[in-house]
Formats: sequence, C-alpha cells, structure tokens
Amino acid sequence: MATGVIGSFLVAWANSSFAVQSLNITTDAANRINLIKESYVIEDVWFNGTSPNQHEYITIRNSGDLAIKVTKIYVNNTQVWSTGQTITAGSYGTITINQLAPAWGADKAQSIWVLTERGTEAKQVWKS
Amino acid sequence: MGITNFNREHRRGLSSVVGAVFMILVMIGALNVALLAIKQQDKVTQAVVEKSNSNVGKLNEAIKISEVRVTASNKLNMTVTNTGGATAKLVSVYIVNETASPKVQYRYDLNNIPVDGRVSVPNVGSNLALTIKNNMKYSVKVVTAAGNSATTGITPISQVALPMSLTIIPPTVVPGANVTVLFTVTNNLTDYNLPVPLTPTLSHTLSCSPVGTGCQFIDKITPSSQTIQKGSTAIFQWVTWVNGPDGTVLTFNASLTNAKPGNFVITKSNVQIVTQAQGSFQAEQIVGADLLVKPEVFPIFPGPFGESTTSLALWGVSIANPVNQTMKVSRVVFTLTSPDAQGNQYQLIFPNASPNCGQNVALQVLYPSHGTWTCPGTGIMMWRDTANPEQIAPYTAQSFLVRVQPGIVASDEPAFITGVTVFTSYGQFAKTGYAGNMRDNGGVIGNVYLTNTQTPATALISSPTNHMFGNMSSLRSGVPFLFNVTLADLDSSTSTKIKSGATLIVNVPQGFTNVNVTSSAGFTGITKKTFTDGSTHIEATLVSDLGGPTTSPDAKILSFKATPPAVVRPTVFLMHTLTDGVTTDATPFSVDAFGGFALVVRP
Repeated sequence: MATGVIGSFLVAWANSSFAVQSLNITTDAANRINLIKESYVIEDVWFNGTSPNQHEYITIRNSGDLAIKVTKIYVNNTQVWSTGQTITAGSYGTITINQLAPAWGADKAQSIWVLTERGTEAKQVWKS
Repeated sequence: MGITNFNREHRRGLSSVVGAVFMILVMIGALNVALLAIKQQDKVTQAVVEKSNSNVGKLNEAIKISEVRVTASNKLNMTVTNTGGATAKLVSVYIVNETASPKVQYRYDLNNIPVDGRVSVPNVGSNLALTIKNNMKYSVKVVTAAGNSATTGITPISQVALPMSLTIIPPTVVPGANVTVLFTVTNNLTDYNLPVPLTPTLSHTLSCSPVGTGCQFIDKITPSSQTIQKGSTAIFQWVTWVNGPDGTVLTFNASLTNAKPGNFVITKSNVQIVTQAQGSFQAEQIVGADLLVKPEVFPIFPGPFGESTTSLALWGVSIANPVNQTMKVSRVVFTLTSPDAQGNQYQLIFPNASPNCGQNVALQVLYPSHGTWTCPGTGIMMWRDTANPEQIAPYTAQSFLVRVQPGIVASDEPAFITGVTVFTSYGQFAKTGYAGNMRDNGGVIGNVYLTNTQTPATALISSPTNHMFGNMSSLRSGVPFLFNVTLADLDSSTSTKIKSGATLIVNVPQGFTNVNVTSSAGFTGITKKTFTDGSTHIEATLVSDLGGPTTSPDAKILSFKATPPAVVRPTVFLMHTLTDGVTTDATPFSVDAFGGFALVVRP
C-alpha cells in the first residue's frame, strides 16, 4: 500500500518535472534557433541636418527568415534610441534619431551599434 | 486466518514489483525528456548549419557597379557585376548628391533583381529618373538582400580635368589640303564615372585675314559623342580642309562640352607651301617658293621655221616670277645657231636693221609694246629696255612675243640649236637645248599658241589686234576656264602644208580638273588621259592638210574647258603644247612646234 502511494506520488512528481523540463528544453531550443536564424544588416546610415537640428536615419534590412525587433541603438557607444521597432522578414525599416549629444561633425567616423530583442547585434562605422 | 497467512505469503515481493513498475515509468519519462533534449539540440544544430550556409552565401556575393551612366532621357542606367559565386539579389539603390550642402540622399527599391555569380546585369535602375546637375557630384550605392553593397560615384565632366592631347596630321599643312585632327581624352578617374557621353569641341583659327576663300577652314568630318569608361581612352577625329597663305599659323583648341574651366589642349601648326623647283622643260607645274629666287623660262618656238619671203613665224618666251617680289626683265635674247662646214653661221634670222630683222618684212612686235626689238647679229634676236624694264608682278607670268621672217639656209636644217636668255633683276637665266628646223626653199611655218577666239581666221591675226598669246592670267580657282589651243601654218604659200595626221598634244597641268574638249573642228581622234599625278594629256589629230589649198596661213583650234585648282595666292601653272607630224613636201619635213604656256591662277 505504502509502495503504491509512494510510487504514485513519485511518478506524478516525475511527470510533472519532466513536463517542465521538456517545456524548458523546447523553449530554449526555439529561442536559440530564432537567435541563430535572426539576420539583419545596417543597410545605410544617413546623417542629415546641422546642429542643433541634426538627424540620423538608420536603415536596417532584415535579411533573415524571422521578424526582428530592434530595441536599442547606440551611436559612439551612447544609447540614443530604445523605442523598439519591428521589421518583418525580408523588409527594411528606417529609424530616425534626432539630435545626438554630442553633435556629430561632417566627414567623421561614427560607430553605429544596433541590438535586437533576441540579443543579436550589429556594429558598424559610418562616415557622417 | 490461514487464508490470511497464505495471502501474506503469496503477496511477499509484490511491493518490489510495484516499485519497479513505478521506477520504470519514471525512467520512461526521463528518457522522453532526454530524447526531447537531443531532438531539440539537433534542431539547433540544423539552424546553425543553415545559418552557416547563409553566411557562406553572403560571403560569396561580390558585387560591384561596373558602369553607371545617365541616359539622354535622364534615366539611371547601371551595370552591376557579381564576381562571386552566389546569386545576389539587388534590393535597393541609394543616390547621394555629395556636392549639395547639406547632402541629399535618394533611396529606391530594386525589387530583388537577381545577379547570378560571375554575371553582369545591365540596365539596372533604368526606370529611375535621375537628372545630373553640371556642378554636382553624386554617389551611387546598390544593396543586396544579403546586406552586401557596392558604391561608386558619378561626376559631371565639369567637375574633373581629364588628360588630353591633340595631334595634327600632317604637322605642316599644304594650302588647300585636308588636315586630320586627333583629339585623345583619357578617363583616369578611379572613384567616379562620367555618366553621359562626352562631346568633343574643336575651335580652329588662322593667323591670316580676312577670312574667306583664301583663308578659311571647311570642316569635312566631325566626331560624335562617346562614353568613356574609367581607365579608357577615346580618340576623336576631325578632318578639315584648310586654305591659307604660306606661313599662316593654324591654332587648334580642343576640349569637351561643359568641360572644367582650363581643361583644354591647344596645338599649333603652319601652312607651308611645298617647295618644288621646276627648272626643266619636263616640269609640268610651277609652284612659287620664297627660296626659289629665279624666274622660270619657257620658250615658244616654231617648227619648222619655214623659209619665206612674206610670212612671219611666232617666237616667244613665257617668264614666270615665282617669288613674292616684282621681277624686272630688261633683256630677252633668242639665239639660233647653225654653222656650215666652214663654221659660218646661216642667217636663220636676218640681222637687218631695215626691214628690222627681216630680208623682206620687218619684225612684228606682239608684247611688250615698249622697248626695242633688234637683231644685232646672225641668228640673234633681242628685246631690250634697260631704262624701263618689263615688270612681272609676284607669282605671275608674262610673255615676250614677236613675229619674225625666217632667214635663209643653203640646205635643209633638220635641227639647229635654239635658246633663249632672259636678263632680270635677279640675274640672267637661259634655256637652251632646244632645236629648230628650217627648209632651204621655203616651207611650212608651224606654230602652236593660245588664242582668245574659236575662229581660225581670227586666231591668225596678230596686228593690229593680237590674238596670239603665250600666257593666260585670268584664271580663277574653281572656275572653269575655256582654253583655245591653236595649231597653225603661218606661211602664206598654199602649196606648203602640214600633212593630215599630225598630232596636237596638250598637257594640262596637274590640279586642273573636269577637263572636257568642247570644240575640235579640223581634228579627229580626240583622246584624253588623266595620269596619276593629276595631269591630263589631250591628243588631237589633224583631219586634213593644214595650210591650203585655198587659204594660207591656216589654223585649227582645239578648245577645251578645265577647272583650275584651289590656290591661296596667284600661282603659275605650265601647260605644254607640242606637235608631232610632217609636212606635205615630197621629202616630208618634221613639224615639231612647241610652247610652254604659263597659266596664272588666282584665288
């Protein structure tokens, strides 16, 4: 009797635990796969305007099979944008950034760092 | 109770079995989890492989813009080359006006234009309107779906200076000749393309004036526009006809339409007359040259110089002044030499003072009207005016013509020596080596000369109105001129004639074109040959005997038209006229009259 009770409890606990583990494994795998499949490039960065009305137009092309969500953009290692913008697979999106601090000068190298929600990043240097 | 004990004994070990079953169930669950983990790991691995393949494909794209231009309808036209192994898909193009302040960017979608590996795709972006401003530079970037890009530049010609060179062929130009101008332009740009075809321009000037027939260019071939790729060289060719006086400086200035200020090339050339000394009888054309400071002398001699008591033969000399200074002629001397066995000279021309130079009739002066004609010795006939010399204008010609009675010889003279010497302000010059001939008992007086009529009877008249000429000075470049060449028997005897079949030969100088015989009454067998040097040879044969029986003297006129060549200043050409025949005498005597006639062509 005791064996049955203990065994039943053990089996129930094990199934529950295994189910949780299976879910975790599946979720982790899916996340990793999505992370791996995420692909995008900084297609163009256009610096426009003069201080204090300077604008940066960062065009990001999603070259992967999944939609991406750009969450943060850094210019010269300073976070300048975190609004978040989703770019569907195979398309592009242009993110407008207003007024960097400090202001960029013409014909200078500017470091552009783009991060997505999944954690992939692209970092390039563009000439303003 | 027994039963109970029995059951207890029989239930011994059941818990172990039950426990084992539970353990098996737990292990099965664990195994499923493990299998799921392995399966998910496999999916992750598969995703990594696919990503790696994708990255390899991206790395295998290698696109570049091999050509970019703007069409006449202001459309972009690119050629994109993929030197990689993977197909690239062009998704967008960016055009930036790099000169504007601030810079202006335009973006266009390209709808995944595929560019296979190691393939060039032309006409990319041909539906995109693009107007290039003359003072602006542009950059063009194409982007692939994989994120690769290629960039190049566009610059109008007004923003860059290109290496240029200009070659003139020939380096010095003969008046009235074509000049080939080769304009070489190299596109040595590395970052920028020239988007539109380049249109060459050429301006040319002459140092002479006024601009007109004798001082002008006439363009015959002009080049068309060309697109010059980076690293390429284009050659543009013009052919232009140029006319100008000797020494004229030609200035050629070549550039490109809308070229950058200062981007041009200038080359100079000269008009230079080809110096051609024409001192021999065989010469067919006189071209004046500054260094040739001597007159050209061309005799007009009868043949035969028939003995006669009443008639006069025509003697003359054409003198051409080939330099750009007026030449003065003070004396002209004809010398006829024919010694007998004892060395005595036959009286080929009577040295009489009255009648002057004749046994029976006096000498008749045709030209010039001033000065004095005398026969100071046997076989010598001379014109002289030292006080008022005959003046021959630069690059023109003049004739000294006289008619004189033939002298007396004791026997036929088939070939006596004749010559003419002229004394000028440049010194004395002689022409010798010619021969005359004379019968001892009268005969034909054969002559060839130019006339201004087509009526034979008129052509025989030399006084009071003269119709016998040794030169023509009213020819104009490009204007057809009518020549009347006369073959005459000037003696008055109807029994002495030039026999039918005699040939009149006319050598029309080189450069004269459109030579056409217009009248040939009395002649047959007209032939015309144009030689490779451009001269034309006309032959005409007498149909019947010339010199009788009803009229004597007698003449036949061969008329033809010819167009003089283009000249830049008065230029003397020489037309030789000769005869080849015999007389009607029982013992035929040669008919060999000849003359060198100066033709002065003016621009």
